[in-house]
Formats: sequence, C-alpha cells, structure tokens
Amino acid sequence: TVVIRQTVFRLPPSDDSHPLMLYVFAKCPSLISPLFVCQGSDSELKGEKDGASDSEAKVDSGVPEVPVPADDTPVVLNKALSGLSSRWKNWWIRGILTLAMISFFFLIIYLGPMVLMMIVLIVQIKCFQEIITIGYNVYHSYHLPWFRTLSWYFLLCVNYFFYGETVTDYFFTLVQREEPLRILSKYHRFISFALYLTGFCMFVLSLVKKHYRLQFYMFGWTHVTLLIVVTQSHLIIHNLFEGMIWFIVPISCVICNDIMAYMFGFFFGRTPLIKLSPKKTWEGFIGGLFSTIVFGIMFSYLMAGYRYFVCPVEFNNDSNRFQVDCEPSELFQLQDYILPGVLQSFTGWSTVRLYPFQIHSIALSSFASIVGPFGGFFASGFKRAFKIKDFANTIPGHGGIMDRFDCQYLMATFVNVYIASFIRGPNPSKVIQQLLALRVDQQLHIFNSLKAHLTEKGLLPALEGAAA
Amino acid sequence: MIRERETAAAVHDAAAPSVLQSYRSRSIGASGSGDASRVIYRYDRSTRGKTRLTKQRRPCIPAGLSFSFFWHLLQQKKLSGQIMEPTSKQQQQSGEHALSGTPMVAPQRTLIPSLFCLYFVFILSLFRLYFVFISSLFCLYSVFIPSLFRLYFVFILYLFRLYFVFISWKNYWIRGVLSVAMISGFFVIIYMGPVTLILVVMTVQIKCFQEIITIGYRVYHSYELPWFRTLSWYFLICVNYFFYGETVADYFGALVQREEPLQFLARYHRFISFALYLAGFCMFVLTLVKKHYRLQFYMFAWTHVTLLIVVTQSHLVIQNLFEGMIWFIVPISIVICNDIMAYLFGFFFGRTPLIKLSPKKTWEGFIGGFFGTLVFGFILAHLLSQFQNFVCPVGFNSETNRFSVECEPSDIFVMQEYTLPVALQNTLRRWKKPCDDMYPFQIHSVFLSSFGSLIGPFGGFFASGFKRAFKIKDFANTIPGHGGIMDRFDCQYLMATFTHVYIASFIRGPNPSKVLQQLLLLHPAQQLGIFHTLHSHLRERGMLPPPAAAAQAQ
Repeated sequence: TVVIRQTVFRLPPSDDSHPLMLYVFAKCPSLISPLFVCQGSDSELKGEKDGASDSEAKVDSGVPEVPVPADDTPVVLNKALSGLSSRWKNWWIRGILTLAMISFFFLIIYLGPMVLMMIVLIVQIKCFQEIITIGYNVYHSYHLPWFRTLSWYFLLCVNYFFYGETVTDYFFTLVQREEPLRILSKYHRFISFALYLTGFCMFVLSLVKKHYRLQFYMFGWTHVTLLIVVTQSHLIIHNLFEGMIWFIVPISCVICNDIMAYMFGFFFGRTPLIKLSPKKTWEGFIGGLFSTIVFGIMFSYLMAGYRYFVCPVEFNNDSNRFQVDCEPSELFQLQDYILPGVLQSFTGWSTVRLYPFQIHSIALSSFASIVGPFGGFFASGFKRAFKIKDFANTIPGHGGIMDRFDCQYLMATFVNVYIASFIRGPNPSKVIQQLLALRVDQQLHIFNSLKAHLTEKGLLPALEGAAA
Repeated sequence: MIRERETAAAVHDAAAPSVLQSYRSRSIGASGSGDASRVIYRYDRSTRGKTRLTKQRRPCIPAGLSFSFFWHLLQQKKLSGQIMEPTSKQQQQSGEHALSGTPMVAPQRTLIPSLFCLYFVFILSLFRLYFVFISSLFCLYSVFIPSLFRLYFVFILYLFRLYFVFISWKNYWIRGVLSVAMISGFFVIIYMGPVTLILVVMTVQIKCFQEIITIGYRVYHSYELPWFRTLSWYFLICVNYFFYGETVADYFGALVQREEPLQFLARYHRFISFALYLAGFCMFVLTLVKKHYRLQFYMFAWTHVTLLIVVTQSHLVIQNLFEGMIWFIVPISIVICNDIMAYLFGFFFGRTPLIKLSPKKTWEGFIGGFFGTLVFGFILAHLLSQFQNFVCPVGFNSETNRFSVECEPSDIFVMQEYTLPVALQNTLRRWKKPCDDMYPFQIHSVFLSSFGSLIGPFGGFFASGFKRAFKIKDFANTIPGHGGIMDRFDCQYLMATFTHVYIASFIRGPNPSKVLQQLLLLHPAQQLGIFHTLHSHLRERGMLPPPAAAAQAQ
C-alpha cells in the first residue's frame, strides 16, 4: 500500500502519459479508494490515453490528466486518528469537518451581517478560483500570456458592478453625503462598462497566434464561471438584506436535505435514482423531501421569533453601522390557521398558530429537496466530464468549497426570485431615489396622480383639512 | 503539444464515420493543400453555381415567388379598395404606407397579414433560402414604384437573381452590389417603422444564434447529441421570453393592465421565466449520457456564452430603439461608415499593419476611418434630428393599439447656439456651412462616433480571432460575398451595448411611468410617506402653489 501511495503522489502534473499510473488505475481500482478521501465510483478513472484534451474528434474519451491533489489532511487529525483503519479514518475526518463547518456557520451568523457579507465574498472568490484552476488543468493553459490576470480582472469588474448596484440601493444616504461616492454611483454603469471593455480589449490584444482556440476556451470558461458564481452570490447578499432568515433557512434546508437524504439512503436505500450519481436512491430522495419539509417548518418557527433574524438589514447613517431593528412584518407574526379536516381528526387540534413564513418555508424546502439535487447532479456530471474527483482539496474530507456549495446556488436564485415575486414589493427608498432624479414637471405629474390615487382610496384627508 | 493534438485530431477525423465525412473530405480536397494537420471547415461551398440548385433547394424558387406575389396582391387589394383618406399630400402621392409607424394610414385588416407574410419571408430566407431574401427585399422597393411596373420589376429581379447562380461569390462586384442592397434594405426597414425594426432585430438575433451554435456543433462533432438542439433553442426561447417580458411590461403598461392573463403573466414574470429556465436546466441534467459528458458540458457552456453575447445585446438594441429611432440608426450607420471608410483609406493610403489578427487592417485606415466617421456622424446627426419620426421615443398608443412616434422633442434635439472656436468657425464659413447653432445631439454623436471607430473594431478583431481559433472562413454563408449575418453584425454588438450604457448614464432619467407603476404597488403607508416627501420637495422647488392658495382654489 505504501508503495502505491508514493507512486501516485509523485505524479508530475503536466505529464500526459504516465504508464505506471494508468496501470495502477486500470488494474487495482480498489486500492485507490483509501487514497481518496471521498468515496465514489472509480470506474470513470480507468484512463485511456488522451492526446487531445480539447479534442474535437473523439467522442469524449480520455483522461484530461488533471493532477490528483495530494492528501493534505491536517497533521493533527492524522495523529489523533492514527489508530484507526483508513476507511474509518475518512468517516471520522468527514464527520469532524462537518461539525466544524456547521459550528462555523452558527458563529458567523452570530457575528452579524457585515461578517456574513465578507464570508460570502470570500466563498465566491474561492469557488471562482477552484473552477478556473480546473479549466487551466483541463486545457493545460496555465502559462497562457496574461490569462490569469485577465480572469481575476474580470472577476473584479463584475464584482464591482454588482456591489456598486447593491451599495447604491442600500446605502443611499451614505452615498449622497460623500462627493466622490456620489459621482461613482451616478455614472456607475458607465464606469463598470468601461472597466469591462478594457478587459475585453486586453483579451483581444493578447491573442497569440498558436493559442487562439485555448484563449477563447478560457475566455468562455471564465465568463460562464462568472455567470454562475458571481451573479448567484450577489443574489445571496440580496436575500441577506431582506432579513437574515432568508439567508439561514434556505442554506439550512439544503444542508438538512443532504444529511437526511444520506441517512434515509443509508438505512433504506434500494432503488437507484439517477445514473450520474449511483449512490443516490429514491428512498433517500423521498425521505429527504419529507424530513426537510418538517425540519423547515420547525426551524423557521424557531427563527421567526427573533427580531435579529427577521428584520431587513439596514444601514444606520448616524451610527454608521448595520442595524437589525424593526417592527416585524405580517409574515413574521403568529396567526391562526384552521387545519383541514383530515389533520384535525389526526391531531385533535382545530386551529394552529403559525407564522405565515412557515407556509413559505414549505415551498422553500420542497424546492431544496426536489430541484436542489439537480445542482448536485450538474456538479457530478461536470466532475465526471472532466474526470476529476473533487473540485479542489480545500476542506479535508469534503473536497473543495464548490463541492459544498453546488446545491446552494440554485437555491439562492430561487429564493431571490421567490421574494421578488411573492413577498417583497418595490423598495420605497429606491422609488424615492428615482423620483428625485426625474425632471420637475414629471415629478409634478406623478405627484398629482399619486394625490388623486390616495384621495380616491380615502387615505388623504381632504385638501382643506391638510395643513401639510 | 498543440501540434500533436491537432495531428491526433486529424487522424481521428479520418477514422470517424459521420454525416459530415463526405463534406469534410470534399472541403479538404478543395482547399488544395491536403495537409492533414490543419482541418479547415469551409463554409463557402458555392464554388460551383450548380450546387445551389440541388433538389431540396428547388422548392425555394416557387415558394419565394409565390410569397412575393401574395404580398403584392395584398398591396394591390389595399390600394384599390380599402385605403383610408390620406391626410397629407405626400401620402396621396406615394400610395400606401402599409407598415409605417404613423397611426393615420393603414387599415387594420391588412396590417397583420402583410406583417406576417413579410416576417415569414424573412425567416425563410435567412435560414436556407436567401434567394427569397433577395427577391422579396427588392419587392419592397415596389412600394415606391407605381403598380404598373411592379410586376415587371419583380420579373426582372428574378432574372437578376438567377444570374447569381452562375458566378463566383468572390467577385468584388457582387460584394459591392450586396453591400448596396443591404444598405438599401436598411433604409427600407427604417421606413417601415418600429414594429418591423423589432421584428428584424429579433430575426437577426435568431440567425446569429443559429450560426454560432452551428459552429459549435461542427467544432465538437456534437450534432447528434441527444436533445441538444432542442435544448439550445429552448434556452433561446426562455431568455428571449424573459427579456421581452421585461420590455413589454415596461412599455406597454396600460395594455398589460387591461388584459387579465397578461396581468398575471406580468406580475409573476420573473418567477415564470425562472421556472422555464429551470425546466431546461433539469432537462439538461437528465440528458447527460455516459460517454458524452464533456461534449454536453461544452455545448451547454457554448450555448450560454452565445446567449449572453447575442441575446442580451439585441435586447439592448431594442431598448435603444424605444428611446427613439435615432439612437438605433446613428450607431449602426456609424459602424457601417467606419467599416467603409477604414477600408477606403486603407485601400488608398494603407501601409503599416495594425494588428496581427487581421493583417489587412492598417493604421492609416484606422485613423482615416476615425476622422471620416466623426464627420459623417456629425452630419447624419444633424440631418436626422430634424424629424420627429426619428427623435421621439416610441410610445404605444393604447387607444389605437399601435406604435406612435409623436412628441415634443427633448432638449437635446432642439437647436442651440454654441460658440465654436474661432479657427473652426472660419473654416466652416469658408465652406459656407452654418456654424452658429447645432443640436446637442451632435455632440453626443461625436462620442458615439469615437467609440465606434476606436473600440468598435475590437469586436471585429474578437470575431476574427474566433474564426481563426476554430479555423473557419466565415460564420456562415447566408449573404453571398459577405458570409453570415454574424460577420456583418460583429462590430454592432459592442456599439449597441455602449449606446445603451451611454443613454442610461448621460441622457435618460428613469422612466416616469415605470416609477408611477412602482409607486402604485407599494403599501399605502409607504405611499403616504412618499407623498409627503414629494410634497415638501416640490414646495421647496416652488412648483406647488402655497397651501392657502391651493385651499382657496379647491
């Protein structure tokens, strides 16, 4: 076992054809599994030699020769678990890291919205880096001129654009106060477009004769990664600003679904779900669905009682910090619901006091259980397509950050669309902002229409009485 | 390492059985070199005219002719029986203006059939039957020609089209004629009004998407992937639905509020489009096939990047259009003029090469094109700013259910006095041109022209690099002598995005009807708060009469 381990870990990354490694892979797949920290099907790793990683002639055959990441389990854990056999060691590492990540999650929630935003930003950058690194390894294009710089530059541009839009929306008063910020926000789109164009022109100028196709591939790869990773992390931040509960509950639903589906699959699993992930079963899927719904209801009941989670995050101009203090909206106030007859006879209660948010959480949980796994399948398909085991090896026992967050992204987008469609109306401060930017005669026109509308509704006392 | 890969690819090319085998071997033979390490996919297959009239293409001739005649018959019927009283001498003289944007002329009954016929002809023509395109485009000229000569003209044009069959497309004369035809087609489309413009933009977008996706299929030999063609078109429909829905909800607010199903669709628009997109995503995941994972992911990414480039920018074009047709016409004309000027200057004075990507471009052409475009943009802006038809935002008139372009021109289209520097004044006086006043829009056109000349070519270099990367000569062969639609529109996209950003940053404020719409959606308490804020703001500005006078007026 020791010999094989050494052989594998001395593999030079850029070598296309290492016969010994291929021999090992082909002949002894079972010996490989202890070396990889995540269990999975090894049949895809039986490599055939691939001379062209971006070959357009073959129908997807061949290993792209992405280097196997070395085993960098922390030494502490290694020492602590040295007594156990390799298989159990992996389970323990995985379990410990899971607990560590969940505790870390609670910690940053406790620390507040600012820290959450920072963490989201860091996660986004790390995911971007992982996917881009995979692209470099697939295309052997690590040494393309300028390209690493350009990828990071595009990330910066798109982040600047999105964060600028967010800042302008939520920090309106702060921005109006400071003169340079005001100019930046007024011409924000123009400035971000100019920055992006600079990157685009740099890309065109850096096209080198023999590497055109690789450069275009990397350009496309960068843009798709930006589309997936950056837009969705910004939707997460938008959700966060609605109220931390809109951030916590979806993420918890996805985590719970993962764990529950695993448990149900472990105990009752029989019929396979999809060929992409052979370890997932229908029993796990359905069990996960029901338990996630129940978990979602209970968890949102817990959270909806606290103002800290429920209030929209606002920026207090006077104290220059974030505050979460408000009157909870109707969604987070207990109301009486009449149970349908079936449940009445079952539980003996006639009415039940629920937060309306719990009804919404049912929708969120069902999405997380039914459509969320498709994000996971997509990532599995991606890993199989490029013949990698994990996105990276950041988290020992789990793989890269992207492995943990692949289902979250679809969920974040769904929550954002859900809020925009069913919960939130337009933001009043934003409307005021737009109003004040109009021409004066247009403002007058709107004022008159609004006055007529409000008088019609009876909200405005008659004009004679109003001393305003 | 790259060369080895290419050799390996070529070896596998020879062994792989595929539908494209015979085509490819024919093209390799036609390229003459027989060099197995460079596979060239040639799209100009028409070195012999006879190949155009193969069996499956023969129906195009009677189909095209019949559609043209059908359109003509419609026009005839309108002229003879049912035209409304023309309200101006100009309309009396020139007969029918069936599809213009002005609300006064065309009877409702023939508008939709003619539009449908026209659109159908366009779609057919761009997908395989470009003969139909040419013949029908020339048919549009018959609007200007008295009915007596119309049929003869069509017949002559049909003969003219047959002539194309027997000559090579490399002839520069053909290229010139097609350029003139396209520019005239551009004018005709502008003449026909905003609805036609939107339809043409949509058609161009669909065609560009199809061209790029076809290149992707050729590159990856993935034409027979299960479901993938369906999925690409499905994603195109989804993204188009999302964008058009947002545009429609913005501009057709009144119409949407009237119809109940439209109201439901508008309210939950984002949710519905997201659900549609998700359905496509889940279908993609479910169609992943064991041996083709990587190809499928490549095509998925290819589709998305194409959508990002093509669809978002065509929607920016349409949003520019709604600002006023001049914001659509001037940027496109600037790009066309820059191409032509750079080519002419390069032809006469060209010496130092500009960039390795496009060896035929020169610095002299670049700089000459820059100045030429500046002057051209300036003059064109001056010409077009006088017409209300171009300058006014396109509004939808709810009563007559059509687009109207009538308004009070905004400040930038009103002549103002500028004092030019003295040197420039003297020069202009010498050329006997008015130099005292000009439209502010002309200043904006200077910025648009400089962008179009300096940064616009980068879009062209990007497309050249793309073609070199994938070893294709042209994107497709839709337009004889020019290549595909994408070849013509590659510089336009950057320009359209820039124009949109320019308008959003420097010209246009927020749309007042949209703001009102949002106001009405708010909570009543919030509405009251905003009302009071606005009240005090307006009072400060002095726009409102003091409260005592208002109370007395009530």
